[in-house]
Amino acid sequence: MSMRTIGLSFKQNKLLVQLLLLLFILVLFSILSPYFLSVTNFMNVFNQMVEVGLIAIPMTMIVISGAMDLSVGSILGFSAVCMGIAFEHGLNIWASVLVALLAGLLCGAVNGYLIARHRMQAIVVTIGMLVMLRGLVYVLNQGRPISGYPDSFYFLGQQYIAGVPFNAIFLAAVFLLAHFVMKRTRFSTYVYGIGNNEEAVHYSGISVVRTRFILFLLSGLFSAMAGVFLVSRLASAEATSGTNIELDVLTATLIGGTHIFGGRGSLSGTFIGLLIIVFLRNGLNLLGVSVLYQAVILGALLLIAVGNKQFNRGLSR
Amino acid sequence: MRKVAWTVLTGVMALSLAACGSTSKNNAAPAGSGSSDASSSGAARTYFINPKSIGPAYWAAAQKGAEQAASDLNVKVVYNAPTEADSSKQINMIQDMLTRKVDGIGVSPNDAKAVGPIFKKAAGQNVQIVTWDSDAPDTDRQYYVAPDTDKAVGELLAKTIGDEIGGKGKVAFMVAGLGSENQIAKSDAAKAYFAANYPDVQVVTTVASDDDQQKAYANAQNLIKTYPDLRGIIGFAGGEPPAAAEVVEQAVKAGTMKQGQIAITGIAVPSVVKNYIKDGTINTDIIWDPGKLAYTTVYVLDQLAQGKEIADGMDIPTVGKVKVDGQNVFIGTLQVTKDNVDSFDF
Repeated sequence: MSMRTIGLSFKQNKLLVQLLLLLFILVLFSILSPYFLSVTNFMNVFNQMVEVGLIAIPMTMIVISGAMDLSVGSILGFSAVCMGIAFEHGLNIWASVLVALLAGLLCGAVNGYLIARHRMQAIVVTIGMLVMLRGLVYVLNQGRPISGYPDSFYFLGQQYIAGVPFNAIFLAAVFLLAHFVMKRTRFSTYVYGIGNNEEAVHYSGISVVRTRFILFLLSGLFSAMAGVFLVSRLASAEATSGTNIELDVLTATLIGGTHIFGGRGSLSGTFIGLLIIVFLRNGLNLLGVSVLYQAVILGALLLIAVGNKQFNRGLSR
Repeated sequence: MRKVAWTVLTGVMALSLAACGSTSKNNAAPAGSGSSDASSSGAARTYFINPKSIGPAYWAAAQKGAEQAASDLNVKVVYNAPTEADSSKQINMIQDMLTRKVDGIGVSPNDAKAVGPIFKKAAGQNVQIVTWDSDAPDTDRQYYVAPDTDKAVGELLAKTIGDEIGGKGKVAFMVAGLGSENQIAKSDAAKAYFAANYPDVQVVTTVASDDDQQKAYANAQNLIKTYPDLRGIIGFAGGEPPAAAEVVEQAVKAGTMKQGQIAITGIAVPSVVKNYIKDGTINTDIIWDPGKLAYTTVYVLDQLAQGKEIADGMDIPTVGKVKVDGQNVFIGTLQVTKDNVDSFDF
């Protein structure tokens, strides 16, 4: 019990640092660029962060459980292209969306089956899926982008409701829901438990296999959702959709204070981590800073965030 | 208590570190983006020049031209793109620059269809839109700046390789991205040219590298293994011909292939293929000056922003006379061979 309270207070401290960092970034860019602090710009940023944000939810859970899913970008691309192909073959657009979600679930199920049931290394399995699915995408659509969807579909990614992008509202709602799940349900206890001590969870009679399977299933589903939103926002399903998105997702998760070896972390942290990286990128873009510098800065930030954590950990021991 | 104190301390350190990063990056900004930032006055017009990606030599050469134009025309140019040829990151970046209220954008779209919505938004904000190097037809773009029509370039490449291999044999295509309009149009034109003029030439496959040099290299290796009787390779983007030439040269060195067994042509910056041209691995390379292409893009944007007309045969400083055909601005292509390869400075 005392361990738990220590962990909790630690987590809160941690979040404070991230909040300060976010605040610092916001203030800094407001001073440096006259265009940064405006409703239009903030709404733009919210509109752009949805795909990474959606995938970051299950990713945080998976990292907390002590695993990793590197195939999310390829699942995104695969689902997006499946949707495009279904639509091209005359399926109703919303039925095509369903096809995309099913495709994502299927990929997640394959991941989950191999990792949970057969206890294969998550990194190895998901790297395999990353390469294989991306290849499959190219086979499926011959590398050509698929576009020409009905206007009603663009609602998801391009419509603003009372000045706020619809996809951002959706992301916020899903984040709140997931936050509730991770705070209040037994499922979250299992997830944290597996990350801390898989054996102990196993011997308490809880199905580790089922919990892990559900996590990867969720990851597949959310990646597919991100794919649908991306296609709606860009009006085009491309073979390269989602390439390298896993790096952004993991960066947000890790800056948000989730421990790469599992057991600790929170969705609120991930959300702040997400805001940090999207506002940082947006601010640097507005200043016209070359992407080459942007990569350096983002990497340094990750080192600071993670280093700060390790530093703390050594001290609290 | 101690722990809390330490947390606050490290937090402050992190912040000050971030602050250092931010200020130094702020100083570095003009060097990395537009050299004219410092020299221009407050009221200067600003243009966002957006290649497909940052990194390849081709786009670096274009950056020089864009910056040259910025100082010649006394305008601001921000030259930036994602590090990989990624459509969604590119569009996020354009969206950010529209927030910055630039006067015009010059975009080389990674996906001709995907830029449609953002171009519509830009047009709504009265921002001038020009595509360059790769087009996005059926969008709100006002002009397309290109070396020549994709059809003409594709046909020229097909003719070059058809002549070199004697109009007979297997040929493979290497492209940067299967989704970009300019790559599709050029390779389709080359295919059509073969069908019409060299019916004995068979196009066996088209491989894409996504503008990734390592992938282009691996693609070329796979090609010569998969098709041992391959006679020719056409590289439709800057990174492809050098990758093909390097692989062929190594195979010749290793003795698995005869010199001249595979003819290579394509579009590549002379400095990158100079050695391959000198030792005969590549006989003819097609190129235009990417710097002049970017220069023209900035010039056209500036003309549009001032409400001036884009006329056929207009004389652009340092670029020369350009051909204007409808909404297309053509600056012309160059053929690089052993004889003139040393005369190019890009």
